[in-house]
Amino acid sequence: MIREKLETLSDDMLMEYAATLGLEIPEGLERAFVIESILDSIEDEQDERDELAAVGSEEKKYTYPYAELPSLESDEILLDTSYNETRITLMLRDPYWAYTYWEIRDSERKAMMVDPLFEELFLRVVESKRGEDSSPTENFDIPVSLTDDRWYINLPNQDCRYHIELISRVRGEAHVLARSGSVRTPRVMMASSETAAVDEGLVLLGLSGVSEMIESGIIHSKVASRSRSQARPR
Amino acid sequence: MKAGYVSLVLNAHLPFIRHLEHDRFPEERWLFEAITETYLPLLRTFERLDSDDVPFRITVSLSPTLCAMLEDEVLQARYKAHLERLVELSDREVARTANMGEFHPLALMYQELFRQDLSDFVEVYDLNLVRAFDYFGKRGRLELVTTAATHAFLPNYIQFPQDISSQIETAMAAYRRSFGLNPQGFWLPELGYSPGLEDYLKAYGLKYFFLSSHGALLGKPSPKYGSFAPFSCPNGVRAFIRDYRSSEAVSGKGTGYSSDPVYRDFYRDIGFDLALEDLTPIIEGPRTSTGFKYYSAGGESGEKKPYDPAAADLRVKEHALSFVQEVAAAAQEASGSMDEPPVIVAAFEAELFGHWWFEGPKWIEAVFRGIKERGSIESISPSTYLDDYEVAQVVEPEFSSWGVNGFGETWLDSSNDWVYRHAHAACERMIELADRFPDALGLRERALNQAARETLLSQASDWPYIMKTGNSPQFGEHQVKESISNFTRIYDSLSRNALSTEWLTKLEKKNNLFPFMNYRVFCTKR
Repeated sequence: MIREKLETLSDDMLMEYAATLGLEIPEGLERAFVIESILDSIEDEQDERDELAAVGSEEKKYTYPYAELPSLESDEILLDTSYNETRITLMLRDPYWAYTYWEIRDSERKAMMVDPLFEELFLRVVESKRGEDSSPTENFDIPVSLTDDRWYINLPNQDCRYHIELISRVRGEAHVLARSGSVRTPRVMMASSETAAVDEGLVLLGLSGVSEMIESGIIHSKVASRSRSQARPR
Repeated sequence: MKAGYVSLVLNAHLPFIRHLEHDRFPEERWLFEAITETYLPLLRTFERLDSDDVPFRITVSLSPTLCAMLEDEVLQARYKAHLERLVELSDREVARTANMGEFHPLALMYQELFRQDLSDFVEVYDLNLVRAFDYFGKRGRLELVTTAATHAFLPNYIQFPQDISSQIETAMAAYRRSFGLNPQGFWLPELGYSPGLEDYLKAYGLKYFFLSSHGALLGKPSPKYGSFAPFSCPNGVRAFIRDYRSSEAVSGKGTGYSSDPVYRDFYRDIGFDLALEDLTPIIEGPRTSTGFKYYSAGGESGEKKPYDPAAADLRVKEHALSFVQEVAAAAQEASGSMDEPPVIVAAFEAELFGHWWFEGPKWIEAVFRGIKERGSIESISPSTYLDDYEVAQVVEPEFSSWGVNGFGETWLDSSNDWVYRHAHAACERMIELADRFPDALGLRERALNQAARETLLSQASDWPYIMKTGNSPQFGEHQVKESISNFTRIYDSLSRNALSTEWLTKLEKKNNLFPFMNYRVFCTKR
């Protein structure tokens, strides 16, 4: 099966395939060990895939059981690496992390690179509102280089709005190059509600699987233990 | 009086894959496997329940891309040819296993199954399964809803209002083309909800959507009936909440019914066990699964025994009975704390039933027969529930999905984040094109319509999903790159006024979904 196919590959192709799997193969390693490493990696990936698919959307519909060896031919479609615009985009991933990607117009970037007064480029993460109170705006900066173009950002608070600014500092002065739209981090704590205030509500929350969701870490709740004690297992 | 209701919801979706340049294209098998193992068995299940007058109401979301493929004559012909090869292989398997006591009955089972598939597909359904689902919809057995045009994970495009509108409006048009009316409900792809999506649904006249349990429970306020009743969003669109426990009971890893060791194993397949010359009718090139699986899943020891259909049938009945009992008990208990009867929404990927869990369609059949026998609960469609009962509570739902850890990381991580730089750029450029050429005609209009198709195709949630999970990641990357590349070529050509008619015509023939496509759905001023 997979082993047989691997054995038909040349040494160079084996090493190339190992590299696509992220394996670091020491130079001169015997061919048999390279094949074993690849097989181990494929098996590990299969286990991880099973875990992911089962936890998530139960999707086995794309699965190639005992995965076929992917083609070693490089993909011929090359996308633009740049759209030659200065912009920054912020995407919410989960309650704790956001993803940002950005681009700086070629002329601006080149100007910064040759400007002796250019000091730094950084991202300013701006927290604009916290929950329903009116806490003052807070922000923090993340230094980035001129070659960076994406970043995952840990967002400190839930139920807050954030946006991000791409800023260059030249001769001590900050210049906002681009500003993203805003995202709001979701709550992870169940809101206090009438539901949790009465036993009937707790029974319904328990029957809805609140305890299991808390155990799985998807939600947090101060009423967890109470709803657990009120609900009989299904 | 009934203790409550159960509402079974199935999301049937596959990404659009149609490669005319190859006689047989490997990833087209996703469609073929789903038809053979899920859609045909489900239709036969509906037929049996219907003819036995078992009351059943199931909500099915048939994605626009799936409908486009099921209605496509080229893919229909290719699937028919695929079935003929399966029948040929089954004849050979019957002969090969003639002296293999444990496997011969299974070979005979597959021979009968594939012959029936061929007969049903050609003679009963006339190659078009969308019409078959529509038939059960018209009979009131199925409530057919729709989903985003190319099953985009909408939270990742929420910053592009025109794009969200385009996904929904195109889906609505596709639904009308397939079923002749507007849908009432909407399946958010991957149950991906972001605050504000309900405003788009309302704008298109959609009455309800489905939401993950935590998306509801983390809402403001938390729904007073937990997941046992729909609630109203502030704009009046209703949300039905997926029941966490019933989904775990069926598909929980290692604990769900579908994981029972008696059931047929998904992985072990003669496509990997037999000599290639024994597989020639069905396999050309790399080994892959054939659908001939002779082993049961087996327990933790890893030992796999020959599949025993009779034992599996028995277990199906036990699991169906267990499900009905548990749902009825939960409904009974919940009803004491509610003003209206509870409704338990059991929502799944359709392809779980049959493709991943071979016995799944039989389980569905046994569940509805069990519900009829037990009599304390009924199946109901969401729209009927909304017609019959008040939805009093107003809740603002929370960002959520049914992906890993409940939010967006399945569709946004280091394996797939590169997609959005390009997919978002295509969105922006498509909006720019639509605004620049609001009244295009002729070749330019054709080009803009194809650009809109390519923009939407690049957004399918399937591609980042398979990049993340490692199933054919290169294929997912290829599909995104191809769509973006096609879009960019049109964008650049329109800017230079130098479009190749021959190239465009070829592309229109290949990616021929949504023939009604109107690029103006991307206009900002409509």
